Amino acid sequence: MNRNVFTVAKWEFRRYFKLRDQLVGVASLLIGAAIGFGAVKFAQSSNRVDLAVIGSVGDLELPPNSDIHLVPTTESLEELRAKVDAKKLDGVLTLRETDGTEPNYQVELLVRNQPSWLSKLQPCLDKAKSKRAIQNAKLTSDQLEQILTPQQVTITSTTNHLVSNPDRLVAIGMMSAMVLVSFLGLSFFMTGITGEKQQRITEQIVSAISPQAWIDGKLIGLTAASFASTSSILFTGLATYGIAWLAGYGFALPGSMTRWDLLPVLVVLFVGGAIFWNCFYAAISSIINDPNTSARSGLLFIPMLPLSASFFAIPQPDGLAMRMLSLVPGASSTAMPIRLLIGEVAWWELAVCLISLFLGVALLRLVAGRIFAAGIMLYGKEPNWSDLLRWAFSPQK
Amino acid sequence: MANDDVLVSAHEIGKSFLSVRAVDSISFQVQRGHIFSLLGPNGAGKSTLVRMLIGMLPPDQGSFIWKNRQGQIEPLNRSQIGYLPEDRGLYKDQKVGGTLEYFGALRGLSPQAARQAAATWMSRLEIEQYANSKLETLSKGNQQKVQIATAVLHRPDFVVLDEPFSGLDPINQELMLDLIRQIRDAGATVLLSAHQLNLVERLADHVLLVAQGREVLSGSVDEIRRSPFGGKSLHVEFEQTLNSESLSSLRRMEGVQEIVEVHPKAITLHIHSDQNQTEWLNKLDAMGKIRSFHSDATSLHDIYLRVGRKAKGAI
Repeated sequence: MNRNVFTVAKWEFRRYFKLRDQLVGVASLLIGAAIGFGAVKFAQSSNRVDLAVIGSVGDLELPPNSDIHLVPTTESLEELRAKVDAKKLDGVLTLRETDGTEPNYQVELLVRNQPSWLSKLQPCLDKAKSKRAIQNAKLTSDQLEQILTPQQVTITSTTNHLVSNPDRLVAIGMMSAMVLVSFLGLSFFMTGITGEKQQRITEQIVSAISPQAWIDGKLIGLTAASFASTSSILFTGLATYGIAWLAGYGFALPGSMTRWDLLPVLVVLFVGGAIFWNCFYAAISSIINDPNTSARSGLLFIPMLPLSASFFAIPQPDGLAMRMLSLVPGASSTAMPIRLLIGEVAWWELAVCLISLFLGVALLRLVAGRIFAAGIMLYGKEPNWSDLLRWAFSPQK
Repeated sequence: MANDDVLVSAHEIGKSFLSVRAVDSISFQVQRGHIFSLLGPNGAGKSTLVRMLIGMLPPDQGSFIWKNRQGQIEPLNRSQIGYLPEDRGLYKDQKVGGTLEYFGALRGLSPQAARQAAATWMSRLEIEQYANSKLETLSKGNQQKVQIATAVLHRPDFVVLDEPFSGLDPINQELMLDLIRQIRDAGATVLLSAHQLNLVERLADHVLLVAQGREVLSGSVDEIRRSPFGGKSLHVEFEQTLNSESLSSLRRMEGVQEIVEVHPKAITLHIHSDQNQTEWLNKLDAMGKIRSFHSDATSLHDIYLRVGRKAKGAI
């Protein structure tokens, strides 16, 4: 790497990625997550519901670790009502066997207010009722087991490629991370280049190094800063998962999150895609004098369209739209990773994707360098479209 | 002027922006080790000329020829140039020491050398206590010092200073004056563009005056003073008020450039440099009794004003 490019890259990275600020941010989020999970745990531990039961509990079974506790009692209803009023009891459940040819129950519940835990009690009551009905039908325990066991479905794929909803969520998360990287790139280039123009720094730097070396350094430094910032957010997410797991809310990670074999190609696609659009941001930022008044500021949001388009194609990762997007530089950095994770990609498609991305980056870097070289020295009136085209196709002198 | 000690020669340099001819066929030579002053009214084309000279803008016409100390032609070496632009600024949210090190590194210094040079210049400019302060917390004058340090800390061969005195109080202007001399004395060549002509007069070895993109005058300060725009200024106070007839006849006399009425009894008479001062004293004495008289060479300031007025068609 050219020495000046490295110097600029290091400077720009340090300008925008403050490790201490990131660590403080991550620590704050983790402390927040720990407090949040702790609060949930505490709230759940104080959710104990004590129900006095008048009559036989019979077949009524509550799941283990249930918040609801059934307490058989011999006290009178009036005494129990007084306890409910005094908040010493959450309710009184009366199970009264009704007259008839088959035994059945009339269930009454005495409470102070509408019980929020009724949705937990109701399935248990329903299950007890079903069980009694089946027992009355004189079934054997095996037959009873057979009836109560849900139907199992075994799925076999001819391609050995099954996509679960968590896998789709991983794909969406990955796409969102790439969009975030691009958003950070947008803000860094906007505040960086337009800010430098406004602070009149450009002339002094361009007298020392070539505009192409400057933009190359910015591309490397600011792209690295946007990835580093996004990584700290992803790290926070993983650490939050760890806290959730410790708090007893853990869940198995989807298989797509452990596809380490895809890591190298994903890195290439992400970095290539980020640099591709950062070239665009650099060129546009260099022609903006004041982001508050410039008509060109809206152009900076163009990359969000191709990057986000993949979201709508996720239900059919191998459909025509997704296949097209995965071959076009600028969209491929979100579309191709999704297809690699939850779709099927032919080797030639991956090859075309990588080659087109490489050529796209090389071309856009060159064009952006030319526009940047002319744009950063221009104050006052912003260039029109014909100026931009002329700069884009004229070699730097 | 000895050609073998030339740092850079400009030949018929021209540049247009759309229909505006910003620089029109200007030629000059900058001698190594000199302070070369580029003067002219606003919009004269000075900044465009400087930008072309240091390779930031390509000329439409003409060329610059750079020579090394052995007199051999060589391409422009950006790392040997120190540039303080007129439109200047720095990263206000960054620390002074770090900023200086960054600019030193961009100009080719190693990280250690950049750190050392930054420390040296902060000490020299008496701002070392601000090394870890953000630039935005410094006064305007101290920010200006940091700005100047970024242009010279890599010990360039050629230093271009565009308005180095602006924003400085008189004490710091004198400090800057000494600094520019020190830079020159250390072996660098300085190209200076400034509007504080009394300071330029004390510094410049060579002056190039441009107006409307063209060369108007070129030479040492003495040569400029001897030019048709230069001359002598006779400051005369009479015992009585001068009448308008006397003034009219004075204006018609050969050798008179300009008459400025200071007050009803006093005038400043600008005459060409080849005019005899004693003869003029006699002529003035014949017009009325003189109370006081003194003369001096026309200042660069007055010459500059004349050039400016000529550029606007006033002369």
